[in-house]
Amino acid sequence: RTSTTRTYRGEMLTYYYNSRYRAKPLCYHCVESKFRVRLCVKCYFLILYNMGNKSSVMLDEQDIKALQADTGFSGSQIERLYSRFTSLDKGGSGSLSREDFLRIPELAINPLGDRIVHAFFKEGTDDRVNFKDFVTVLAHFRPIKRSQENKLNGRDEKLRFAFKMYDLDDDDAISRDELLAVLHMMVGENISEDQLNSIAERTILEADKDNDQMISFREFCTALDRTDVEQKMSIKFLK
Amino acid sequence: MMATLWTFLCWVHICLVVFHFLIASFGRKLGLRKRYIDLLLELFQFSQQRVDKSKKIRHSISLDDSDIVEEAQKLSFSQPKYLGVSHEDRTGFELGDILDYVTSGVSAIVEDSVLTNFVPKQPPGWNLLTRTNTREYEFISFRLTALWMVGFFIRYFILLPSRLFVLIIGMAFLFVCNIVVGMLPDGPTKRKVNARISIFCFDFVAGSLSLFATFHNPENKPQSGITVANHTSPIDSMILSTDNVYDMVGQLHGGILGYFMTLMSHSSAHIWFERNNDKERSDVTRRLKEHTSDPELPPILIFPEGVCVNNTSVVRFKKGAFEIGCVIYPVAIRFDPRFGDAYWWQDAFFFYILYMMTSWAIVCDVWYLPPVTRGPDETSIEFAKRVKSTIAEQGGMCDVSIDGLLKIKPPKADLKSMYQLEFAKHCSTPKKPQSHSVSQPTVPNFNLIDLRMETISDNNDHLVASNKNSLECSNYLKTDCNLLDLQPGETLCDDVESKPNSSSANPLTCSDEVNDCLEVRSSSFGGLDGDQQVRKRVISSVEELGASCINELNYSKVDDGFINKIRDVVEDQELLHLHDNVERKLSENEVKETGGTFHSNSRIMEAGSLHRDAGGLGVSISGKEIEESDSVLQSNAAVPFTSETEDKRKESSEPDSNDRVKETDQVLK
Repeated sequence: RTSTTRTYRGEMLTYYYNSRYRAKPLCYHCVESKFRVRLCVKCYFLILYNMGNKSSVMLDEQDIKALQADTGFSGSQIERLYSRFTSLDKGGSGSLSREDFLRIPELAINPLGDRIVHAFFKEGTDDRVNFKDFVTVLAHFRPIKRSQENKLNGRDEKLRFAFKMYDLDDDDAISRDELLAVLHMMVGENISEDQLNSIAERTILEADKDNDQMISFREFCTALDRTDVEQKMSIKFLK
Repeated sequence: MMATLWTFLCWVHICLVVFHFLIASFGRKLGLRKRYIDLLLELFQFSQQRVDKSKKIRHSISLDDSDIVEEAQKLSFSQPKYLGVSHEDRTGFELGDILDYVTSGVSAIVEDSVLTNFVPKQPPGWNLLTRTNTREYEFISFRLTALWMVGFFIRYFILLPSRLFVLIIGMAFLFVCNIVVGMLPDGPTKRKVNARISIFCFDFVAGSLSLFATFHNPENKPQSGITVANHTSPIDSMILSTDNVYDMVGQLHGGILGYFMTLMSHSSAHIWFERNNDKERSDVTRRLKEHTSDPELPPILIFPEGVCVNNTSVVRFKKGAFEIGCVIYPVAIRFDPRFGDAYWWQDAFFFYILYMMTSWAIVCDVWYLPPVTRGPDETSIEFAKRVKSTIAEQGGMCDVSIDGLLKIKPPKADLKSMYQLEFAKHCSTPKKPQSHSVSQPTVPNFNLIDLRMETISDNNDHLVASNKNSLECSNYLKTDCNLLDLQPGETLCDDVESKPNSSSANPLTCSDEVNDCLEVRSSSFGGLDGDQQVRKRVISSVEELGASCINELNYSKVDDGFINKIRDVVEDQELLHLHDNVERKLSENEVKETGGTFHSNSRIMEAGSLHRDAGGLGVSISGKEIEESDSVLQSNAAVPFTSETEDKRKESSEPDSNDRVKETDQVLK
């Protein structure tokens, strides 16, 4: 339902009684109140344009600039990621669920698929990822550039991501059980239990320096000192 | 005044509709369709210029990132392997081994090779349709908006009604013509008449979508045999039928469409079948062969991809059509996405038709390629690949070798377990110390042998894989015990720790099997310790076997085949002898029911011991020893037993152990 009025400034404004747009004002010119969103002219046409479009997430320039500043992606990279996001978002709800991720065949056959998907979901929120979180997590895998400041994709942040793969309960330490669980994910049924136990014990023994039977983040970093993390954990993002 | 204006507008509207009707239905001959297309192209160029202008303002040129990063490894669907590099001096599991898997997963999220084929592709410019507006999420200019609104009005209020009108009349035509032609007696005249009428009718109906197809190389037009083409939309067959008459193959739908299908089969020899009826499916091959052996009959149209692809690439062809053995006429179809996207990517038929009818037009190019036949040494799969690459090349599409079924169904679970297997292989190679190297080739790692990947991917035959695996396991076990010829107490390599020290964490130097084997040799056969070792050995080897056969267990019951495999493992002569020993001992003592103290994999043995029907390998063992060995082996692997074996186990808890022991002896022998 819509109704139009003219404001004192002569602009034509439209009221939309539609809860779909209540979630976020479309641009900084639009005004949101409790039951309606008063759209500015540009956004009005934007909605009209996008009526054929299933997705209800619309990016505007401020969003893109904010994302660029936060993540370091360029504008066209963000556009590309956005179209990828919408193509994964089957329901057009503007957010992704775990099933949407696991619909990607190459992720479904990856032994660590579930852990990777889990990394996108912040605890405490409901089970959906919005575009901002999507891009923020992916920003960890941007290649490191000497010329730029690398807020999200420095070596430490990349290692932190890898650490989170092991750390199932987010307590900042990898216990033996957690390591065992990840090993289970990686090898499936193909190694017997006691062998896995011994592998886990050995790994912890080698990495644990302060003898608390857990691997902390610092110990993890030291263990991966010789690995070329910058190369291994970087992805080419096409423009 | 208002009334006259209103009636005037109505008349204008109706005239436009009728005009468009005439263009659409008969316009091909008159060349009017082409003019329409050209006009649209100019319009699009104009809109694109506007968009580009505003885009330049918006996006500042970013610094060129010379990306020196390599491509992340993609998980292949046909050849699972271990991602990552093994270093020469350190093998076995390390914390950093998962990094490659993580990166591969995340790069699959960013862009993967399967979904890109099945996602509708955006046309390069904006064609004044909102549905292609995903990138233009900003208001550009008033002029463009005005143009868009005019376009909206034309498409929805002038084009759509007239197209619907054309569709209705066209379908009626088709209906009537098929009835008429069906009444003719079979023969060459019928075929000729059918050809001309069907081409005309399909052309008429195609006008309802404003179809504009250019057919190249008409000298290669198929006259008989099988025609294969790439598949993008359900209207592909209709497009091809506007130029040449084909016989279709497909499944019978219900309802009106099904009625049409039966009607069409009166006038020409189409091949319809019921998909659910398996017998009919094998019948189809026979009918195809019959049909193609008659050179008078029109060619058969087959889409070997099986699913609709988004017209940027051609996915793997199914080999069915290429096995018939007749001449194949490849046809390449390429749509122009600027005018309207015909790709079928969602199951909503109504919206699909609506979108197509409110697009500007459907424009495509069709190339007839010269006929090909299968070479003398070529398998049908290679032949299919060859044809696919010619089609892809002609149409300017990528030649991709993924399976089309991935659009609909998730990938098989085996692939994940094969990747797990590869990783397990990497983990299980022991940490070689820097200095000492073992001279014998039998470096003790338990070798889960390379499964033949192509048999897996082609036949999905778990049995093949696990059979090989079991043989290898048994061979390995024979090898290390019998051939190593060690004295009791001698170790194989420096890293084997004798039992008392093994509690210190230096695991995975040599595998436990070897340890056990040596223990067995060195210990006396009389005491309970030896028995325990033997039992442990049997159990662990069964576990490994069970572990690698786990997939098979998913799909088959614990039956004779499985017993044979276990027998292979246990057929180590010495082991059998010891096993008999154990049996004898146990039969003397009191044997209690085990009742679930073993976990998972060893339940194979448990279940077998308890009833004939499950037919597994049985070792009835007393409770105390179970607990001891239980603490050593705790396997969390879940063996998915059918519920009936569980029920039977609970039912038949007769402590008739002696009989059972004898029974298992018989099973073993």
